[in-house]
Amino acid sequence: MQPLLMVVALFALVLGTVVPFIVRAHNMMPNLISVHGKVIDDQIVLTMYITGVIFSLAQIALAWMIWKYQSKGQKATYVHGNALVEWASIFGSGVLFVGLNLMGQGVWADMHLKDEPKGSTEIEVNGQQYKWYYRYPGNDGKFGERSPSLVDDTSQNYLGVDFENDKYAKDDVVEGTLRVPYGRDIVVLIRSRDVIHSFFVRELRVKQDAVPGLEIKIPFKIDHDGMLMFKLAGVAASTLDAKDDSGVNAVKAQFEEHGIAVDTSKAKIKVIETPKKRWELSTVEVSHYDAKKEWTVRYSIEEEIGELKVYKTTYESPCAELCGNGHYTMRGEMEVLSPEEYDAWAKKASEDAKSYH
Amino acid sequence: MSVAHEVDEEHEVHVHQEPTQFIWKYVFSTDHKVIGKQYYMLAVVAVVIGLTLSLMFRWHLATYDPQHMFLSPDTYLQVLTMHGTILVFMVLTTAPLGGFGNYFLPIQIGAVDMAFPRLNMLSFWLTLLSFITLLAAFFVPGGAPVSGWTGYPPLSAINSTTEGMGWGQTLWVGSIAIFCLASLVGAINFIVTTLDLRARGMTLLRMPLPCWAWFVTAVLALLSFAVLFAGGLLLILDRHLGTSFYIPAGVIFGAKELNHKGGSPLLYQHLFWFFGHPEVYIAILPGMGIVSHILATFSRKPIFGYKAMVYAIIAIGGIGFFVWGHHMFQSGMSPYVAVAFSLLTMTIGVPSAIKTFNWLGTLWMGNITCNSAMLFALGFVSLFVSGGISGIFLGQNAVDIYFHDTYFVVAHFHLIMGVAAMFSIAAGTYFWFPKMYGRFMNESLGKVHFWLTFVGVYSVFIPMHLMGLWGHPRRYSGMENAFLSNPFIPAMHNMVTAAAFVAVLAQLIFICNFFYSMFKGPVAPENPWNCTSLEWITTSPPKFDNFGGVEPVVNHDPYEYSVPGASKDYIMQTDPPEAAPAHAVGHD
Repeated sequence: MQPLLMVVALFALVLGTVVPFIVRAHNMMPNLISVHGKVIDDQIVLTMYITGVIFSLAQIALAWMIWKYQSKGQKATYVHGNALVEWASIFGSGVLFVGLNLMGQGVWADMHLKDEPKGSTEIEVNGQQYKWYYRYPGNDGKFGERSPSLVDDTSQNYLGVDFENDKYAKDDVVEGTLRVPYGRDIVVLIRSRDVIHSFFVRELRVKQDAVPGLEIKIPFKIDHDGMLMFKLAGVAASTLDAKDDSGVNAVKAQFEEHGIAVDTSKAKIKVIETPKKRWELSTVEVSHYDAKKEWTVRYSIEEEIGELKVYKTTYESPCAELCGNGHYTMRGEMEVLSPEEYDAWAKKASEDAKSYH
Repeated sequence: MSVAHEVDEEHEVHVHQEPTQFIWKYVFSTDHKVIGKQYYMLAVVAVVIGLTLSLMFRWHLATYDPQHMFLSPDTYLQVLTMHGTILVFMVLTTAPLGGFGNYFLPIQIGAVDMAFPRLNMLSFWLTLLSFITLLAAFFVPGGAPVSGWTGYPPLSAINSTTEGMGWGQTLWVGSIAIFCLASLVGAINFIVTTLDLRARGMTLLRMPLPCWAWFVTAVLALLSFAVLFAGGLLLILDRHLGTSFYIPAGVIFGAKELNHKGGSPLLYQHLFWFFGHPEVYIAILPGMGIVSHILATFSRKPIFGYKAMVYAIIAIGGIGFFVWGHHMFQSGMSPYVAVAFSLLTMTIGVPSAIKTFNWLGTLWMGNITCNSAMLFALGFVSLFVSGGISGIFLGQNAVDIYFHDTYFVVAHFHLIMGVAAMFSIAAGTYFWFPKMYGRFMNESLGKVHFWLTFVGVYSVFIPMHLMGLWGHPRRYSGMENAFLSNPFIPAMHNMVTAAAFVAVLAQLIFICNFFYSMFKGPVAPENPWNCTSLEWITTSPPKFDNFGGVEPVVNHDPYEYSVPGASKDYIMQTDPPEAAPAHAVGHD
């Protein structure tokens, strides 16, 4: 009885784990919008396949041993080991694990070890209990001086920027929303003024602690080449197969019904299936970036059937390092703009800031 | 200390007189068996408290409603912090090492007691003091700390950072510091005992694997707790005496600049994880030893690759000191160092793979009996594989960018460090209970306990991996945001909570079984499992001096099961040399 139960339990474990993790590995994570994130995702998926095989083999081998050698009064075989098996497991696991690790070092080097690309857009990301503030250098392209002694929350100078005396500071823009252009190299300078926070945007595949006393640079670039993302309701999941034209056409038809033309000829289509039906029916989010135009549609079936609203694309930036009681409330927002929109916004915001100071 | 094998046959084994008064016999005892039970009972109390806390925050997450929170955000983090601290220190460090190690190390190597019985007593009472100090944090103004079991400064270094960071945090650090002293004293005792008090013939490579595990664990404890002690001391200085070890210049609280400068928050993380990573092995290595012992016994087979198992224990312990940086990939430490730490971390997969191979090899062609002890040992192997696999993700610095500080990490370390270690404790309990109390535990209840726990813990932690893939951050008490309020996440929280209740409440069956069997269980003979090691040659429970004045002499390797040509299917380590046919005395 017990051996049978063990076999059933271990097979259930393998199936219950491998089905969601391996079969759907590519679409269990939030949408990907960064260039480097592709490498990270590929590494995650590769690791899933390798570990999935090891995991399954080990659990099934365990089940098999328990079943095959359950006590039926047989005499156990007197074996002390096998040098070949030992050495094979040493070399096999060593080469596999270290090799897998080395494959991931390229993207790490890109993010952390290389100089940032020339002409990157620099944005300061500042954490404090329990809010993120973002500083843009303004039209002069230079960040002004800052000092902790100038911090004054009542006058909303959370970062202690020297607006009074530093000419570079006067046009600096400090905002509660992170705005970034797609298609450009971006560097965020991550800082904290009190405890440790962590800057995390799921869709960017970026996470970096914000440490008081340190300024940590993280480069990224938001991909725009042929990225078309769907979170779509009203179309049965079965018709949403990216490899199948009928799914794409069904999606297209849905939007054409609402007077929105969808060009799918050049775009690579990525379909993100939502894991729960109820949620699938609640929102539709489509973001389409290409060199000429950019739009996002968010569509709520539960609230307003048939009506489409146009928004900018925003992403959440939840603090990922325990920073106190309000940790869970510390969520920033990242808005992705087209480069033209970004330039226009940045120019105006900087002029406004300059006239204010 | 006299070396055991210099003692000749006639020499009286040096025995302290057994105390007769209750207080010296059962409370302030220097007998390693009593101290072992005291540690074990401390762990039982701690596990009840720690798991109750986990049910509190699981209930909070499952019933989350911003208007009617079950726990306030402060309380949530206090409960979370104390859950982690109590389980890591007061359960996972005490039961496998202080509990089973104290009780069975001396007996398995043929000694009458630990090398320093009074230090042994000191180490237990310091541990108890540390536990009481920790619990006291609940009752001081402001309550328990909210900074997590890792207690990172500046959050933990400054009283004014947030509610609950006053005396509660100081008591927390104090408790950890006392615990470090207790562990250091205990570690020295274990090391000296293993090296100096082995019976005649008990060479190092004849020791049962739990002894190897306890020995290496003690070395880890000696080297790592010393560093944590230093780290904790500096934190207290920063908190109360105005030093700036961990607090840099320009830190702002309450809209004004603090009078600190020159410190580094990363220094604490280095000191903490220099301890923290070996701590994982302090929790799990004894479990590996215990499980190996049980797998061999109930497969009726020698350990597959005994020497490889010993070297793997040593390798895991040794490499374990060079990988602490993998907890800090996103901390802001040098990214070059991260590459080195990441590669070293992956090499730990090698001895871990050897252990898994050899456990399977031990079962191979065996004669397997699935009783409660064996079921928990088999469950341990399954959990060790599952928890180890997710380590392959987290050990890669690039992949960790996404997974760090998400539920994926929570799932990983709970499976490998928490649950697997708990399984080894349960396995050890069912296995050694007859020796410790002279009675058997109830087998049927044991099996029910196993199945509810095994299915329960997997149902808790496999979904958590998914939530981590989804990007759910750790230590979030609320979910009122678009991302986490997707019905997917609350549904997962509900499921995990339900499973957690099943898994935790199943432990009540175990506790009832434990105390009932202590008085009412069927009486156990000396060697009920036909096991080969030295604890099974003495009475159940063993006498005050363990072997009734007889000094055991060891003639055989520890796992001589099913030896061809032998008269029975096991050869006790103390059986005369001729018990094994000459051709069969095996060395791999």
